[in-house]
Amino acid sequence: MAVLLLTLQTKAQTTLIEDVLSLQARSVGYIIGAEGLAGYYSFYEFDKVSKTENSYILMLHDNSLNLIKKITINRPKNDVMIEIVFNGENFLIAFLNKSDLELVVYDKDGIKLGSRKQLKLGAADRMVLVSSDDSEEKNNIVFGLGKLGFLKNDSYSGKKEKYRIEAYDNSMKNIWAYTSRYPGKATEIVEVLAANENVVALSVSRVKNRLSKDITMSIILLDAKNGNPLIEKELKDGKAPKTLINAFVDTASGEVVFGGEYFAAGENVVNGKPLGIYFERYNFNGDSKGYHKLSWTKDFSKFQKSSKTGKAADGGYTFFHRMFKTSNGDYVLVGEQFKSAVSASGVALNVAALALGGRTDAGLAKFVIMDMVFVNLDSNFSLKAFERVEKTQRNYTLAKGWEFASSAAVAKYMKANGFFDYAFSSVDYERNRVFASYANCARRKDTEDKKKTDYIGALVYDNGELSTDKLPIKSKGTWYHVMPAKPGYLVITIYEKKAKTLEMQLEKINF
Amino acid sequence: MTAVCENESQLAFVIAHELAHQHQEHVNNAIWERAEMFTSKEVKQLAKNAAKGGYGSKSALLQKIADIRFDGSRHSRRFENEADSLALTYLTATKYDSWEALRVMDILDQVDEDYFEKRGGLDLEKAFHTTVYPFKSVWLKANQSSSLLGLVSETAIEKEVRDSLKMHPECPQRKANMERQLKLIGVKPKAVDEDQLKGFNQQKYLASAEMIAALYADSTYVVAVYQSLIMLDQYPNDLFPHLIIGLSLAELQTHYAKRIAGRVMPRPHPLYNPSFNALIHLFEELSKAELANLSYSYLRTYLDGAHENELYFWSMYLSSKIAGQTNEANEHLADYEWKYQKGKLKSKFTNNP
Repeated sequence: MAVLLLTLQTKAQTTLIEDVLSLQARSVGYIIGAEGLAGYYSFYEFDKVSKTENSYILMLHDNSLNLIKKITINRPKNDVMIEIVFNGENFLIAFLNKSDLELVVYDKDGIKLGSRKQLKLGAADRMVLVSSDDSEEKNNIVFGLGKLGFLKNDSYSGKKEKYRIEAYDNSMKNIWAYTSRYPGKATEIVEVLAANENVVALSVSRVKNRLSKDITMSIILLDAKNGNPLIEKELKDGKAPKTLINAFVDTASGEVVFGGEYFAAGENVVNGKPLGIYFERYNFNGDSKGYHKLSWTKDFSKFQKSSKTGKAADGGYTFFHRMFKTSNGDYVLVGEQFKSAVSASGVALNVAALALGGRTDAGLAKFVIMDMVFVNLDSNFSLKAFERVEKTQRNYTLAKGWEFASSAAVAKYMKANGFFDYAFSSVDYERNRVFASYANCARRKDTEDKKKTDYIGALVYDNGELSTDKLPIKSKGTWYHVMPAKPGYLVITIYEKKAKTLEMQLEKINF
Repeated sequence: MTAVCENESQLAFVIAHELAHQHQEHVNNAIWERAEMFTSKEVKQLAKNAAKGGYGSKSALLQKIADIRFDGSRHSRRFENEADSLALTYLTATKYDSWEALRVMDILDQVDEDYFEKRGGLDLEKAFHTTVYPFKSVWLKANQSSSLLGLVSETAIEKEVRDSLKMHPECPQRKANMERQLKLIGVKPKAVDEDQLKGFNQQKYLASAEMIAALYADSTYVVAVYQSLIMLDQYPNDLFPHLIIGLSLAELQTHYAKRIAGRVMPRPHPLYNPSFNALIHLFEELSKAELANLSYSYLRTYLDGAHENELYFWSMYLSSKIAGQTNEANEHLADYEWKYQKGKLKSKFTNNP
């Protein structure tokens, strides 16, 4: 009988890292690979090398939190790691130090293959870089292009008017660049929706000037090898505008699916109210493969009563965070309901300020985050199911002026700033399961010990059946962070500043 | 070691080897050596520098500690050769066959290999399939933790580091050393004593069963299941490993339900045997309901006609409870209480109403 090597932990789903001198929440995260979640990283200061340089440790863990690699990197003091991406072969890390952004490529042994610097960024640029919403399994600045190399979204700048996307090989040599083709004056914001070694999917929001509310949106599909545009079209159905929420690259079928909201002709996407959601499919050559629409009144109302513009009977709209395709050809959308309401405290402050002859910046409206939503579509994008999962509502007071914005605009703003409870989701293709997680807290009346407790809510959509789970957060440490994991799991990381430890726990969702 | 040895002579060599360590005070010497290294002036100074936070001080201290570890393991290899040599001297004074020491080296060299890989692989579907609850092929998904595993490339330096950390030097080298010694002494191999072999095989079986029972008692359920599958391969008609497998599935399920599975469930690891990793992946893949149904159906399939000992009643009770078969669970509880009024497992039933 063979005796197993039991020198490794055979009863633990926790990884503890010690001697972590200092750690920011951003320095622990997941690595996006070619096929999605590839593993985890932690990047922390380990030692002081000189007056101007520190020694950092980059630890790489696989999906089971096993330590795969420990790489020592010497970097200038005060370096902040912005993003990391793995393209299947090498890593690209974006470092920000004061006003310089440096992108560095390391191979799997921690050997530097190349780098590129962007010097003297403005304050607006730095602000965008450090405050990027990281609540989804998607980077904002750097992306992997498989064995081709990497992609950088050079359009985060607040000052630049037109966008620029750059692709590099694994030694950071420029392969191609794609810049805006718009002939007129405009401010454009581009978002990289998806990227792999075949295609790069972008959404572009364009306004003529910063004060304009007339926003047009476009979708662009580029050939990842050379940056040539395969599709470039404005999101409009005749005179009816559309927004873009998400794009999904289905490598197996060689398709890109764009999804968003559509409006009535002549409507404005900032102030207008959406009539429903649409999906457009293209293959990797840019050929259209289908266009599908789901109306709030005709389609969604079979499952929940809603107005022409998607407002549910209880006043809520739905914002869709992610879209997945399962192996049986179905699509599952994960969303969250929200509504705008009058902020009583905001109104009171305004009234009080006016009475005193002054002013206040307190907003008059609040943003209420409501229930989670799962939508199941068949392969023809017909609605099969619409499920709502109740959770504790959360309120956020909106800044003055937002009370006049449309639900779509408000939701986009809230999403960009991480105000939704939604954390992340993942798909188990083979078993047709979608998992979604959100952060919430239980009110006093919900808890046994009458205290408010944070929990991570987990939803499992398993072949059309929905089940829920709540994972209480027992120890918060100095800070804690929840990250996506392999399907059916999530990872909780807890940093204890006094003990200088970082603990990563792999938690199974009970369903 | 009783479980892996093939006869008494091999076990006798192992015991003689350990006695030799004891007689030569190798362990004490190693502890002293290690303590002296760690409390040396050099290490103390490095630690002081690190505490003060000098430039590069932490890296220097950690490098020194790593060097001490490598030195320590190199020294312990010297002790192994000495213990081997002395053990042979002891053995030649007994009725045991000293030449079996060479076979022990072969066994140790292969002890960490995957038992099932040499036998065509671990067939999880065959192991866990029951007609009541058929095995689902989707449970055998591809390795999930391998996204970054392409990075586990052993460079030459890493391999040397790992080898240098082994407490036991390469077994083939030790085997060659002992063979040379035996030839020099002029000891001849002895004939196999069939009666002794028969008695040893009975002890071997008991040792295997005890090991599995200990693993279960220690809540090392996944390893208990793995070792039970190995035991079933060697003793196909034995019911005890089936009992441990079914019971371990039920225990895992209750740990998941209580959200304390992290205490008992290992993670797949690149250094584990492929079969063991495959087993971990299977348990990771199963939902709470699937684990409960699997445990329930497994026990009823394989323990039909089993000896009704305490552990049997506990397994039947727990698997019924987690599968939602409350009436059946109560019946097993009543049977247990009637048969074992002062049973050792009473508290388990009480703590899991």
